[in-house]
Amino acid sequence: MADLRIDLASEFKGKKAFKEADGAVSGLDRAVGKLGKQFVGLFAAQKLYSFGKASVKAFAQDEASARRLATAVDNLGLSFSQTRVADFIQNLEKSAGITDDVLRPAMQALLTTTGSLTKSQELLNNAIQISRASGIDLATVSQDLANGYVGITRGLKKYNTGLTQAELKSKSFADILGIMLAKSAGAAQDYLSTTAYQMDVLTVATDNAKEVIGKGLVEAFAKIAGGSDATDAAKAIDNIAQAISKVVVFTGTAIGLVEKFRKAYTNFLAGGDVNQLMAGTAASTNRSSSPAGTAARTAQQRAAEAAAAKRAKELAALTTKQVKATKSLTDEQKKQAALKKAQSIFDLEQIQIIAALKGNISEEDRTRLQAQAAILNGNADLATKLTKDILMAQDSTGKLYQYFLSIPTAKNPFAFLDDWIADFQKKLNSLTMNTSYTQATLAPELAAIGVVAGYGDYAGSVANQSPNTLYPSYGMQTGGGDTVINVQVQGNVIREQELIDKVLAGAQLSSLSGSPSQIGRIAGMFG
Amino acid sequence: MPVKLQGAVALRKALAIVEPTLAKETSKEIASFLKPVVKNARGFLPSNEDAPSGWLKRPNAGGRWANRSYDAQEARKGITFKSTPSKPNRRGFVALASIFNKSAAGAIYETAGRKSGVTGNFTPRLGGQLVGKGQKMTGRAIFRAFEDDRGKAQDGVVKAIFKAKDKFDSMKDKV
Repeated sequence: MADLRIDLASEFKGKKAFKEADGAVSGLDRAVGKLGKQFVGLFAAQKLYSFGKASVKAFAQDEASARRLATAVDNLGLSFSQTRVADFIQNLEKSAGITDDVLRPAMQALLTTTGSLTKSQELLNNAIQISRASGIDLATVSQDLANGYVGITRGLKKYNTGLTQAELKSKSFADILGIMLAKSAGAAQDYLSTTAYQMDVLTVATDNAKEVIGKGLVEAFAKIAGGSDATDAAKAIDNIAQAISKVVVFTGTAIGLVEKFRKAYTNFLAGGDVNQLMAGTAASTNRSSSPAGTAARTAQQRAAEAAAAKRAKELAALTTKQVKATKSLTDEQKKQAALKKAQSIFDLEQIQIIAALKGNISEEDRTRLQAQAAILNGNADLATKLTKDILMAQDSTGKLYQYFLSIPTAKNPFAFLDDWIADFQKKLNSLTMNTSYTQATLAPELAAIGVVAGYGDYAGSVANQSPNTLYPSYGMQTGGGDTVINVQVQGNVIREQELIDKVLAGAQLSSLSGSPSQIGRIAGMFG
Repeated sequence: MPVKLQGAVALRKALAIVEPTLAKETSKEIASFLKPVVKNARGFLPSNEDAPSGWLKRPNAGGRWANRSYDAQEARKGITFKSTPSKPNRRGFVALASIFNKSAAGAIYETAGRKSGVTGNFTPRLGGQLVGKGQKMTGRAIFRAFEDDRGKAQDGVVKAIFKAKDKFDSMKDKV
């Protein structure tokens, strides 16, 4: 618990204790100072290692994104424009305050979609403007613009262009982009005067510094590891990490190593000795050394532009075709609707209703007929209204109408049959036939009444069947050969002709007795 | 902050040995300055009716809040004073006169909300007023009373000690 007290007057009596404490603290201070000095080197090494690690990572990412863009440019047949693309990115990075790590993927998306360098540059600038205005990141904006360029305008909805979904689909990309640019006009320029932009510039500068330092470190580490590529550098970095982890013992060694690296890196930046150590092929700028280089580049670019223009033309044609097809489909649907309406004139039921309506009928009957006509035409609203009118006319209190509304939908009276059939089918399916019948042991009581062994078994019963001597024609003959069944009929069996003669004679006799018979030959009846 | 004096502890020890009567008088005089502050501080404590009902003593209370109840009488008893020198604290200072708020409930009432503010479900229901200078010298009872006293008690204590010193000196001269 806190000591809650107010001391009104006090006297300092703790001189001795303080002296002791002071001595102890002084001793501790000296010890800490000594310890601190020992750790300063290690701390610096750790910091340098962390910074170096971050720099190397930044450089690796930068290099990878640059390589990806370069490949994309190559694949588009614009290999001679590599330098121009790199320059454009670099300049845009400085002017817009956006790091090249962001610009390169955006440019790549646009380049691969449009296939045109100039169009991509233009769209990237537009994307920056839209991004500044909308606050959506540049990568998303550029991807949306790339999609929009090929007719996929769904993603452009989020920029609040004020266009409907249908308008976004029907309008051309150029029109939509025009609207978007008009709405975001001046956003990019305004952003340049903000503190955020200043911060962006600083970030870009820091990132670039990191990348440059990272590049130097990778090369320096690689050389120290006795190689020339990043794998060797990784080996060296691993070694350093291990060295630093051995706190005091290796501190000196680590500092020496870092110092060595620093010197090597400084030399590298100054273009001194380290450059000689790092002898290797310089990265190609793809800049043609021949006087015809410029012509080749421009020719390549012209070809690419032409291909891009052709593609754009094809896309425009395709869009026009789609619009035309949609239009014709709509026209066709309209025609069909008109035809359906015309057909309804010849509907017999409707004709009857219309005829009845023309006659002199009461107001209630007129309403009823109108309601029928509305139901036939599928006009639900009118039918509901007229039904209500009829019911209200019959009962002005509205109870009848309310009752009508509360009537549930009529049920299928044979619905139970469905259930019965389903149940029957289920039972039928559940029936199993015992195909493997085993002969039961003959019960003594059955034997007592003369049942022979083999009861229930056809083969057994046949074997034990005694020959039918009384009626040899009946029953099963176990003597072998074909089974012959004779049917004995009491009375006479006459032939067909004799039957006809009998009928004719009967008819004649009946006619003569005053009851003439009419024989329908076709219908086969007589009476 | 307390007034720092030098030799006051020695003086009072000497008084207690040489002039016990004067020592007692000095203590009484110091107490006369402290008593009004204590009385005032006790007056700032809420009665049981005014304290939050859930904080009062409950016969069936269990758990850690079983003994953390408020009782006005107990809290009032906890506010006291001392007019004799204390033991040295960690920093080596000896208090010549002090006012205390010793009870747990009194301490809670004294200090609740002085760090986090008068927020939540409990502190605003306490009432009272946090008065004082700085976080450690702010409170609802003794610190408020001390603040209201406007330093009279402190001056009185110092004067009483100086008076005792003067008397002691005069007695020495006489001897």
